Amino acid sequence: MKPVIRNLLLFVIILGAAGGIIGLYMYNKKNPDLSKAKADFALQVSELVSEFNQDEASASSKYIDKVVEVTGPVTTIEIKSDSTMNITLADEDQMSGVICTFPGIANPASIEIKEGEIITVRGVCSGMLMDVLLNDCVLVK
Amino acid sequence: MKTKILLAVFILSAFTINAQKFMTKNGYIGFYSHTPMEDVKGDNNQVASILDASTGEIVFQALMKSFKFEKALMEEHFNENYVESEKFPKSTFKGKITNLPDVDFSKKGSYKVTVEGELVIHGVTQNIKTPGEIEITEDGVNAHSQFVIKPEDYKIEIPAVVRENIAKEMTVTVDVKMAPMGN
Repeated sequence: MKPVIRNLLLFVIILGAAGGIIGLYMYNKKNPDLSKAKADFALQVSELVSEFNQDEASASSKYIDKVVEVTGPVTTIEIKSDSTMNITLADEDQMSGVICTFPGIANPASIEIKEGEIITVRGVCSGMLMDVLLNDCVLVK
Repeated sequence: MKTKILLAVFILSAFTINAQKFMTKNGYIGFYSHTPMEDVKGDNNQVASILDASTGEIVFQALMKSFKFEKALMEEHFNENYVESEKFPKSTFKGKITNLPDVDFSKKGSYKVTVEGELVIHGVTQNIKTPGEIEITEDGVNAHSQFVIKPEDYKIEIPAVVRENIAKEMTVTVDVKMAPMGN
């Protein structure tokens, strides 16, 4: 066939293949591993909770789906499964805290975090129920 | 006089066991469906629930955005297209244990219960009735239940393109460990 037509055909095939690969990649993409991610916001637990308590609607639009780093004291630790754990950070003076779910912990029982310890957690904000909720969390060393 | 006071304390303590409320903010609710095309599985580990042992009333609250999926795209579709979590951020269940007298909150063990109430998903309310188990432990009260819902009952529209990937029915699993309130 004419070189122009052949080249055009080749171009279309390559484009199609590229589209297919990108599609497959998107389809199989897992939830983000935040261990190397950059936070959109970094603040104290008390500050985040105050913002949500003062104006939930505006705090929601500011923080939901964003990567947030919160620092604060641990109040509860709950092992949810053999790979998932929840850690709640809350300031002494506040009624609400931040519940952080860690999805990819190899051995939750081996994590040595104590109640009262001040830690920094990086996670994606999902919103608020009675506490501010973070998911896909990782511990920031 | 001493006996009367002692008696009063005993009676009062008997009432307080049954008058207790139990709660958690780390409860689990997950849903699952299987089709030859793919499995859909969403897990929420940030469910809040309260049980009033004296009335058998039980309430659950779940943030839709806390349902996590293995695939990011599935999670995006779930939030943006199916349950529209921006418009309807929470799902709730307000119900009652219908056979409350069958549960002895002061005695450790597992009790079969029936729970009936209103489930709100995507802004739509449906009455549901399901069997479940209440387990009294030394830490509090565990509640477990599994039931089936139809996404279409909650006006959740699955586009034709992915219709074959998502089953018409979802199996919902509830698993919460509640501690006594006011401790």
